Amino acid sequence: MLTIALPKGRLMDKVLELLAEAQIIDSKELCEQSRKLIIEDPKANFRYILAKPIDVPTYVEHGVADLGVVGKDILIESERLVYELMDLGIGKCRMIVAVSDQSNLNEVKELGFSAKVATKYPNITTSFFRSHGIQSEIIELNGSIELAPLVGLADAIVDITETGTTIRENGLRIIGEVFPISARLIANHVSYKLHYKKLQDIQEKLEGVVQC
Amino acid sequence: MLFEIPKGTKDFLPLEAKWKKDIEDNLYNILSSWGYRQVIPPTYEYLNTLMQGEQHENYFSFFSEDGHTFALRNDFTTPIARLATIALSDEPRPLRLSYMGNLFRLRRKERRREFWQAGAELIGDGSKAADAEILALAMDALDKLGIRGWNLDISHRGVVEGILEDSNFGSAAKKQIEALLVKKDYADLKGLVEKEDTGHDLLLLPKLRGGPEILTVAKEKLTSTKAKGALDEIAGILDALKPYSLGAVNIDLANAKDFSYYTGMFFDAYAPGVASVICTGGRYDKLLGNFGTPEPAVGLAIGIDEVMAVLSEQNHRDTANSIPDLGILYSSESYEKAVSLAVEKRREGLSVFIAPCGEEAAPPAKKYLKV
Repeated sequence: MLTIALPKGRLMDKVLELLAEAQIIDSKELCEQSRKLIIEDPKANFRYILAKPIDVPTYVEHGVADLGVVGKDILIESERLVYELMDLGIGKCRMIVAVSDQSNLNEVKELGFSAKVATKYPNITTSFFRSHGIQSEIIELNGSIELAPLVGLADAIVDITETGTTIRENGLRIIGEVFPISARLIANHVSYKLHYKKLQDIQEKLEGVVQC
Repeated sequence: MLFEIPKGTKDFLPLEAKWKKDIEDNLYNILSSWGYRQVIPPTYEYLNTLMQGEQHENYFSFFSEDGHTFALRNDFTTPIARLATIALSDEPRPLRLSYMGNLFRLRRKERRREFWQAGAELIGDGSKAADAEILALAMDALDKLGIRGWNLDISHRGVVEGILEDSNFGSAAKKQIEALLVKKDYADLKGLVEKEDTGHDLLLLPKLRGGPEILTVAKEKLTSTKAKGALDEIAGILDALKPYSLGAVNIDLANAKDFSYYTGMFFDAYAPGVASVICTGGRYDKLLGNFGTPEPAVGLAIGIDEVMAVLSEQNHRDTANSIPDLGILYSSESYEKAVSLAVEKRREGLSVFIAPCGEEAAPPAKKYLKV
């Protein structure tokens, strides 16, 4: 039996739609039925683990899940050793740097030598600013990141946005892009080898329906 | 105050320590039976020495009193390349050396930072028979360790190198591609190939995986001459491996490694139940040249922690435990008698301890004797 870790939350609905379209699951209802954490699909010989997105790469690295679906942002931030097999083309958004509307900064490099940056993504933020030669003081927050520059906690934020609307509505302005994001199919190193044919089959089914 | 052990380290308590020792003895005997003689390099060396192998950023390093930088060994192959080139330069070739011991890498998260390896290096032989010997030794060891269902994947550095040499990628993009192949990040690999519109053969690699028949398929599909040469070399190694009749191997042409000293054939072996590679190795014909005389070499490493994890997962854990054979229990009058009986029993080959108490209070033993 193959075990697949799926991310609860924002991405879940689109992932289920994609799996149904690729005929990997019969219908979306499979994983909507309850608050269960483990869902069996004996007919297909699959088992699904519903996990917090940031934990999906952990389950896959440790091999308790053979495959997983997770956003590129979380994949990079988690620094887990997993194989990244394909771009699923869903959950598209961007990792951006934004400052307060009132700020006179227009580019990332203008942030100067020591920028205070609020983010949910400390690893990504550190390496991004380091690669731009900017020393940053990372302030790790867990939600409502937009608040930080408005109340003077940080000079800038690093966060994800789909359309930029929330950012704008909160009186912030985007001054740089870190990288584009979409959901990825990831695999455990050993599962990839031991179940190569089954994984290949799933990948081919997904390739048939994915629009990148 | 709590006396914790540092992140990434581990205590082996008696039962596990005994089991580990048994596995190591088994490995030592296997490696010896193939004519590999053990060497013991120091636990730490000059950082500069270790840097001749692989420039990872994961060294535990520290300073000497006169300002040199030392580092705990993070690999055995590099110290052995050093001693083979310098201390053993006069020994006839090929040189067959083995090793066993702990390594240190500053790794993140819950990954082990001190871990254990055994391995073999075959130095001064650039033939396909030498590659086959190392592969056969790896397979023999996996079998004799009792690991079931293992798989061994063979790859060749020349395949990716050949495709990259024929492409128009700049050197930064080439580095990036190697990193993407290590992560099997095929999404970004595809993006990069399409953006730069070169090296399209890279995208064929993920599907070039399977039995030896893949070599024929690959030869038709890949255009690079160097890559085709690498395929011929794998075929030659497989021919040299046949007489050992040790079971099937796989070919995985998309496999890539972050140990960049490999120059030719390299391989990974893994087994159901454990999510990491158990045994790995390959040909590294340029490493010894960094210490003086260039010589071809090929080697393998077996992760002892991984072997223990696999055997434990496959319920092969050796229960012949660490409990001593005999406990001699004495009273205030019989101490001398107990000591001399223990000496005698040890001479007979039993493991024995003495204790001044009754059976209820005594440490565990398979049998007790009251004197």
